[in-house]
Amino acid sequence: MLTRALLADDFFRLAHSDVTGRPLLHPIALSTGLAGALLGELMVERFLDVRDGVVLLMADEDVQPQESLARSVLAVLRREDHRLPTWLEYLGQQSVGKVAARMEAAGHVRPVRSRRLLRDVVTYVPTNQLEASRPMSVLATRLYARYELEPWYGVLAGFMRATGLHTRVMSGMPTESHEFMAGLIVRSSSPGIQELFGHIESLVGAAVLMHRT
Amino acid sequence: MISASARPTRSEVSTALARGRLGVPSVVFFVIAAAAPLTVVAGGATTGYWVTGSLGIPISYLAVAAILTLFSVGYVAMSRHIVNAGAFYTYISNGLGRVFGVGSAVVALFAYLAMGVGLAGGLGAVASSFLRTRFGIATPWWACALIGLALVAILGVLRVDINGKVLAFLLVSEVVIAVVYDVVMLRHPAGGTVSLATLAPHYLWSAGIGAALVTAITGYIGFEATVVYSEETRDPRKTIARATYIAVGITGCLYGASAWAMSVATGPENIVAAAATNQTELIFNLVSPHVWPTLVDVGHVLFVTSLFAAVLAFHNTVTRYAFALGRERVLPAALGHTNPASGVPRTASIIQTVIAVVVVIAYAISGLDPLVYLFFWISVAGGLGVLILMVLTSVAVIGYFMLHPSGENVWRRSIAPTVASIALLGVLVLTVAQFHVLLGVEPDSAWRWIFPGAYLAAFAIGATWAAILRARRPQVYAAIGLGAHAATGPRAAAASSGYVKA
Repeated sequence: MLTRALLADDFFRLAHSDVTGRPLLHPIALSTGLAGALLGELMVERFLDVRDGVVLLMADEDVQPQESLARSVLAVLRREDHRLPTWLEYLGQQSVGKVAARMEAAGHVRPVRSRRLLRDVVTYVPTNQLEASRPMSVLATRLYARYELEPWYGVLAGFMRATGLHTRVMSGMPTESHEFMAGLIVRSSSPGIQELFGHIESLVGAAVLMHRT
Repeated sequence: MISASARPTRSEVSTALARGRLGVPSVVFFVIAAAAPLTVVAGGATTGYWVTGSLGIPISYLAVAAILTLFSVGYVAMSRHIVNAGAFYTYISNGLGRVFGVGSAVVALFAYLAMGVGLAGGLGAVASSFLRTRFGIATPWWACALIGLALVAILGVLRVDINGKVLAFLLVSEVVIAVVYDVVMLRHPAGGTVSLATLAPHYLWSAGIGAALVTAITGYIGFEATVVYSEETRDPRKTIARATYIAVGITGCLYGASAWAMSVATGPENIVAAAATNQTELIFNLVSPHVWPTLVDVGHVLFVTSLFAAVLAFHNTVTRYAFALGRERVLPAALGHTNPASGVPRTASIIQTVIAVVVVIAYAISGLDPLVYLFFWISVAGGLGVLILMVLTSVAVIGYFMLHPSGENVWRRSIAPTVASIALLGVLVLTVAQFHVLLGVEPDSAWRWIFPGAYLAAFAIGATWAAILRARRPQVYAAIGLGAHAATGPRAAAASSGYVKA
């Protein structure tokens, strides 16, 4: 059964090992990227737009997204008014847990609790490795071959680059692939989504500067 | 229309974000830990007395604390209005223009690199001496230095955070030990009476005071990092200001008191000779007749960990600077890349380590005394660089607020920065004029001009590069000073105009 994947779910898959489920990104990059992807889901569905750092509500109050996590995110966005970086930070506080819970409910991952370095850690192990590896393998092979990709993957590539994950995915690839990726991201993403990428990159970079990754 | 029951009385977003925010104590702690107090007390002050021969060391620490407090008024006020506030070059870009900004960035890289490498030399010398005298293990200083650098590199690349609690414990222990030693020294003054001689203000007009002042400034480097945390604090307006003044205040009192206490314990007329004979062992030799041997051992161990923490802190500073400049594309973009799993700017980190290793090896081959020629000379050369940056920043604050008053009062906008600029410029002039005293060389030695000259050259290189950028890559030029936020700057806006609507 082929249901359309959710943007944040695909970014989650991209940012975790398809075998062990361990994160490939440091915590701030992961949580900010997922927060951005949740906003991205709403932007793709035309519930939101972003302009000059401000989040603009595009749909009527009574129009709701179909998916429940998207509904709850939109609800809090409708209740309060903040700039985009604030929303990214706020949503980032719980983005990992909430997206993981959504994926667990859909049967894509299962949580495995363990103890590492004196701390309790939850790893979300994929239930279907083929599906878990799809975003990474599609992006990696098509970008390397510079083969055209649907806008969905272009936007995903944008999140990948904004969080710094591209240095891992694209390691060893020639300059032409990097240039192709840059062009693909621009072609696939609306100005609002591109601005979203910029803010994610800013926040992740700021965390590096503060040495609080 | 939103129903009344759906509107919260308090912002749940603000409440949620407030929970993770830092308060004044955390920021003070981060900054003092990076300043490594015991390194300054046991290492900086003693080598300062010895190499400069000046008795004005204690008063210099106090005078510099006063100047830095004044400087901080404008510095912190301006930090509220710019992004990427953690780097002096940002202030200079915003207040004096981007050409000056890039010139300062190159000066900053040199200065912080020098600090890190100089401290690595000190770490090597002190660790090797400790191992030899206490445990009878003979290791050359450069081996200890290289091991220290390797540890820093590993910690940096793996992004293993030295646990905050461990750092806190070490820092508090350092301060406690220093205070205990000070009390012991004051209770056993040479000649029986506690002399206030070395606290006399007239030393500020004495020969060699420039050398003493820049030695003092070197001890405070790191205080400027408080503003890096402004986005993470509960009340950015007040928290950062308070944290900065408290950090300068605590370190100022500690340094001044310790340097003075040492001169009391030896007698003011003997302190320079005693420092020359005992070098970094001075403080330990002064207290060891009067305290348990364990307390001296603990002090030695903390001295080594303090030096290590300082080397690590400057490694991180240089890495951060290079990362921000790489993000802005002022330096090659590769420096702005991080290891995605750890968030470490790995290219910058590796390059910094390689440079440090090369310098240590060069000194090892040369056979020069690492305490004088690497630890003291190079770290104080770093201090000179930071002093130049502070002068420029202080003037930039005035310049910025002239164009953008931003609601700050006239004390913060112009009076305090002006007094601070004059004072800092005075210190800079004295330092450059007396640099030969600092180095302990003859007035006609070429070395007294090589270090200041190197900074001038670095500044010129940076300024030229900025001019080239302005001509050839205006979007990059426009993003100078934005640091990590270059991603949301003008370059990003220009690049986004290729969207093809599906």
